[in-house]
Amino acid sequence: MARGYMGKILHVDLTNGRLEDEILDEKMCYDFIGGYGIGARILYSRQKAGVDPLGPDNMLGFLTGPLTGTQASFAARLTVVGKSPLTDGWGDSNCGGHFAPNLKFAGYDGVFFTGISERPVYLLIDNGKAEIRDAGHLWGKDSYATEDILKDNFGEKAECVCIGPTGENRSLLSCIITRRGAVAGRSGLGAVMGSKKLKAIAVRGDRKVPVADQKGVMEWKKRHIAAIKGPAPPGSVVDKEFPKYGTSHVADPFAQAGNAPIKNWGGVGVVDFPDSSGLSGDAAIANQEKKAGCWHCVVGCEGQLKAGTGQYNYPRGTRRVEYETQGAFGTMCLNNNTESINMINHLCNAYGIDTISAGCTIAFAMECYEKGILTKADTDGIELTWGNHEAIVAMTEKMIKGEGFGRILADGSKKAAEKIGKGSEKYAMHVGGQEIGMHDPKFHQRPGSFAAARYQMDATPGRHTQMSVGPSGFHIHIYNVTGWCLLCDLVAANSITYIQGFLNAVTGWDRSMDDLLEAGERIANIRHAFNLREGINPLDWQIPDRVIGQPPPEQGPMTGVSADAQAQIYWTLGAMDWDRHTTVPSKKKLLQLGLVDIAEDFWPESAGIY
Amino acid sequence: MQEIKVQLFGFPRNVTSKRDVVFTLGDGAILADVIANLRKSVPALDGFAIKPGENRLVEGFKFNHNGRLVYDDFSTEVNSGDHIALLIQVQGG
Repeated sequence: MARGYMGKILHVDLTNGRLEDEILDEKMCYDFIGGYGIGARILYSRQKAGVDPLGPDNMLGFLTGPLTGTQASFAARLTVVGKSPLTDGWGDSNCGGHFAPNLKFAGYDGVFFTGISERPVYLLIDNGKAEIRDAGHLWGKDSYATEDILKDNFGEKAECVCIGPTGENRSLLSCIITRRGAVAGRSGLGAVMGSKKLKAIAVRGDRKVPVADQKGVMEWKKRHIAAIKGPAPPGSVVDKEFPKYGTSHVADPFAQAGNAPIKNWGGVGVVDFPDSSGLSGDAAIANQEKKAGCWHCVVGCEGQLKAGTGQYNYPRGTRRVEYETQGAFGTMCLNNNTESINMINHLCNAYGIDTISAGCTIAFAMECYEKGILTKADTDGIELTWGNHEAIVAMTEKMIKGEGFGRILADGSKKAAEKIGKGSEKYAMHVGGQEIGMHDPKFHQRPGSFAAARYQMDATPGRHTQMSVGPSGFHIHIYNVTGWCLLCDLVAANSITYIQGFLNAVTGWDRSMDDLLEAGERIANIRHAFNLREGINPLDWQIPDRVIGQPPPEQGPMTGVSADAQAQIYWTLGAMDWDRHTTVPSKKKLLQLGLVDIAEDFWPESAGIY
Repeated sequence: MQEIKVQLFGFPRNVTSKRDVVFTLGDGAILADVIANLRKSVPALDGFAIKPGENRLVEGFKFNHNGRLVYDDFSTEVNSGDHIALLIQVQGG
């Protein structure tokens, strides 16, 4: 077995309480590495198409990567996988924190859940021993209280992930949380966890992650830290302010420069939201008490706030906001009130809802209100006018608690529009059911960026974190499946080179960059194949016209600019060797990548001959 | 001669405290000439958004010139009334 792996994954059937260890297959590790690579391989092989995402047959996986729990610089990510109830297709999401390394210290590279428990439960993995326990005392508790109780029970060194009440209520926007705000937010996987009546997973242990060449790891770390301390290479996205602010200092300039979406994607910053100073980095850290970071991170980009003392009384320890939250509840809603966004961030983290989708859904409702589709009679008396921060906080509370009109919004803008009707669907800014990340694809038109196509062609639509699709995104899959943090690109250039160095030193492999990128391509194909098997052709998804500038803006920095999504998609399909109508990968490509079973599924005439 | 207006957005606006810069260029001027005049008019952009000693933008910065984003080919002719905006590089988020 390659080093870097604990060598086994745990399968938990919540219907009958059965727990079973599976020895990790070495070839699967080599081919799919970890995280959603291994997750997609297992779900494609063992889960039938068409299962109800909130039913017993949907597998919910929590996975690490081979770098997780080692001295590699940024390797604390946890990936959660499953069929998404938001898109009815492939779902994955990841978060930082301390859970993933401690899952490995407890003895496992990952854990998969199937079935549905009769009563609320949590899983405890205590240094190699797994046990399902009653969670009746935790059900109904927010994520902060849940974590506090589990830590009281099992000690400060125990780590947990959990859902809040929003996940228990199976809101399709609900997420999975650790450390009061490290959140696997996208794809609605908190609802899957809630559907299984699985409140939390707690882990503790003292096992060591085996490493092939510890000296080599430390040499790569030394090099990487030197690069982080060095100057920002021209043209890179390295951001010397990142360690101080995290991502919170870009919302203000992005609002004015055209990168951040304004007014439910229908506005222009300099026209509709000329004062975005409440979204500045200094505003974000004004009430910050201390910095924090994920397990062994060499940067530590998080912040924790003092208690709110004004109109909004969020508790001490509330996470400092990050850009995506500032975008969704700030620029999208024309909300320049810093403290309200701090409060919202607290509410979303405590109750467990994805801030991107939640904020975008409220922006959708605000536009419906402006257009007269919704009135105060519909919104429980709340005046959903642009920039009305009190209304935004109030509606967020209704969403997370599933109360009144908040219940309509709690499953996202697509589902809300289906319920509201009256032509509201044209104001729902989603792709495939998932709200779009806070980066305007019109702003990112450099050849090779594929900023519009990624929102449609990635297996988890609407996401910005894959950065790209097609060959220019293969390396991002390697970031994710090794357990590496994507934000590393903001502190040093050429991250993939360091990942390659760390990966070879940790595992004992000697993998070339070509070989790693081919693994990225393999992973892109199996995520896509999962969706195809579910009957999803991404060409049937639509990026809303206003997102890609059809027609283009008439004012502001993006005046006259459209994103040529169709050209980007056309090029991507060719580069991936996917059919330009069905998007089915060619047989040749699938076989080249070693995906023989998938080739047989999609090209049945070749079944059994390879 | 023609009057050229360049709008500034995001960090360039914050760094210079200017919303736009207006100057006069001769007929047949190109975007590289716009960069040269931006340097003269707003020295704070030199080294920040404009490459020192070159009439080029620092990698990552770009123009929106009449709806077309221009990163590194500054040979396009400009005319009075053109929409020209200096845009930031992408960081964070």
